[in-house]
Amino acid sequence: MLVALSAGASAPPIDYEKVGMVGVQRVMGQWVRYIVLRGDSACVTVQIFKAANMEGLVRQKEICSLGEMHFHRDFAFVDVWRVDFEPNRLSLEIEFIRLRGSGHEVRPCSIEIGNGSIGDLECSLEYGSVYY
Amino acid sequence: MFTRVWKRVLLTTPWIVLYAASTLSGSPAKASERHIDYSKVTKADGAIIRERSFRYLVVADDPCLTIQSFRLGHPGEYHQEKSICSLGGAGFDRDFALVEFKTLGFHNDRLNVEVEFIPSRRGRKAVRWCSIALQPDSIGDLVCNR
Repeated sequence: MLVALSAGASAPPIDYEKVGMVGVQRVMGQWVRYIVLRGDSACVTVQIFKAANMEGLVRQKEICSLGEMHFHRDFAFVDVWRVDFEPNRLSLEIEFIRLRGSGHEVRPCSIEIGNGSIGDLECSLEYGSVYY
Repeated sequence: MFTRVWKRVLLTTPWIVLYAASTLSGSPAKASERHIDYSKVTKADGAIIRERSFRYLVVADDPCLTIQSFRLGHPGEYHQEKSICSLGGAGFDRDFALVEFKTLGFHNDRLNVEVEFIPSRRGRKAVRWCSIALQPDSIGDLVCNR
């Protein structure tokens, strides 16, 4: 098992050996990598590096929720189907299965990438009376 | 003294040769045989093909393409692993300036790979469509069209 600590004291360790989906591309002059680990309702980790060989970590963000709704606590299942790079964001296709209710929903989502910054997950999903 | 040393050489040499031969052979390697720096993975994806889960890995500073298979329901248990580091007799690190795995995708029982080969000597770079056959108990070689 390979576990590495990333930059920032509060950042959780990533078990890189469990990677399921990974992609890297240059976005706004910085190297951006997304990671989705294998397993149920896996979080999306987004990292910004100085170098193409994944050295010089500038920023890292682990995204496990949509607004206040946590992937593990507030959904029966969340599955990232696809991640694509766009000029200033990641565009994602995510399947959400609610704890109660019928069926599953596949929604287009996005994560904004700024100069050394990583935004929150935004999706067109209505949950209760809140629209995310 | 010399006899004792020579006897030690005679006893150990076949094992060294055998070990070297096993590591150089083309048979699928066990997960532990080749070091992979998972923290430098730049491309990865997986698919289930005929009761096996397959995953490919492209790693920064590593010229090879790694393909692993797992038993379904046992994601932490490697069934097979193969590192593809050459095409025919040409080694990616030895015979090319750069080999880049540009796009990869699973399709039926194959992994299709678009590979860019940049020759180390004079010559034009070439982009070729290649594929690797994936069977429940074997991972094929890289085969490219002309």
